[in-house]
Amino acid sequence: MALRVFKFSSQLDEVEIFDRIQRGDEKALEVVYKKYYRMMIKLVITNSGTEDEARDVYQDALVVFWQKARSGNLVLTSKMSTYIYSICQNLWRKELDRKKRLSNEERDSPDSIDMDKPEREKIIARCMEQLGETCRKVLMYYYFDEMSMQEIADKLGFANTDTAKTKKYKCKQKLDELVKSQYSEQDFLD
Amino acid sequence: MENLELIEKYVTGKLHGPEKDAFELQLQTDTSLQRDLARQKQIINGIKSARIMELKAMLNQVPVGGFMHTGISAVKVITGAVTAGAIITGSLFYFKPWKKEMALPVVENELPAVHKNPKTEVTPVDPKEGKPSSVTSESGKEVKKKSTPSKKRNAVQPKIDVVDPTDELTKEPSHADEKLAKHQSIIVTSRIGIDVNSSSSKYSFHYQFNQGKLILYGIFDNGLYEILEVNGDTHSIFLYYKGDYYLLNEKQAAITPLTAIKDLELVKKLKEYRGR
Repeated sequence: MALRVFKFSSQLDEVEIFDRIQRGDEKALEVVYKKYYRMMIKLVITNSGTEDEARDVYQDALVVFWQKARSGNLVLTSKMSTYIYSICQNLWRKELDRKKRLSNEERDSPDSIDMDKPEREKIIARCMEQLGETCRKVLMYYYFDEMSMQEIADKLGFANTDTAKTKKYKCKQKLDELVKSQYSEQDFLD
Repeated sequence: MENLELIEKYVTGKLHGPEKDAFELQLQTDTSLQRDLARQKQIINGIKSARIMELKAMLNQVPVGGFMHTGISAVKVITGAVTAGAIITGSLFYFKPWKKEMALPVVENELPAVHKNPKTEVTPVDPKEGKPSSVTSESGKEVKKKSTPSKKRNAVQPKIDVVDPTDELTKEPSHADEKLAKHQSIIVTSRIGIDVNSSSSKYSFHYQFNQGKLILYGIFDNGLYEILEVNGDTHSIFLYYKGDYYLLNEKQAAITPLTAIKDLELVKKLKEYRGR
């Protein structure tokens, strides 16, 4: 049995990891997550954050990194850790600003928080859960990871791109219907 | 639904030209289309959110050592950050690469020496302000006193030897490091507050300083810009964005277009600074 060992000791390995992430290899993302965990967590903890907040920021940063890498438009001109570190920095800075704004808003007008938006998001999340696993994956790969039909077919073991295309169409239709059945038309107009 | 494909193209940014114009025109008067568009936006955002949650849940399953139990060598990071600041300041002022294109205060003909272990004042972030502080070398005055004789200037190339933060990951912290870490915070980020204004139709790639705060105008990709501060006899601020570096004038209160630095020598130095 062949074992693939991920190492970070050379530039070549980092290139390989990045290449795998670009191709949508989630295992490679896990390797990156583990490797830089302490570094990124420390950034937030030493800047007034808790470990939970740090973990959240780091995971968000990796999601941004993943999406950028997947888009094919990202060319790494620095080390991967430097790049991810800068995303964490900016996300944490934004979070601190958000917290500051929130505390000001609470002081000024405690009733100003819009409760409708999170509720709608919850309903859509519930509809997503009602779809089958394959449908969920097809839609997520298509809309978030921006995978081509060929990539979706390869990843999910479909016979060809036509199957992937049909699956995507039907799954989306199913989700639309589910959402429609749980919403009134007015719910989508703010 | 007949419009569904069109709406989806519009939401995912795949509708262009006259087709897009016609769609937007129809949108102005067609309330049914407005409703469908709003719903599709919500649904697609919902799909994206589900994927984000899935990726985060996957990462949550990855076994990682607890941060508080492992610790990181504070001394090394502090020393490294301060040394980096001093060395880069030295090298930048040695080469004075911006002199050709920018009017910055002239530095006297002295080459700053590098302190191996300069004293550092480390300031934690003020959560009320929400701004991370920066590590600032307080050795500016001392640096000047210990300058290298000017005769040697041409022969000496400043050696850039910055601590790589990834080194921390492979080493266990010492007891002394842990003790120090309890009393000091390490801040290696910029102290400047930043706002991004992406809603302005007039300013697409501009900046200004307003009451000490940097305001960037334009569509800056989420989390992909960096601010580099160089502390020395003068304080210089640079923006790094999508492979280019931009000098930011702290006294610039007017909204000003961002212009990439073209001086290759300066870009090289900034790249080294940023890359390490």
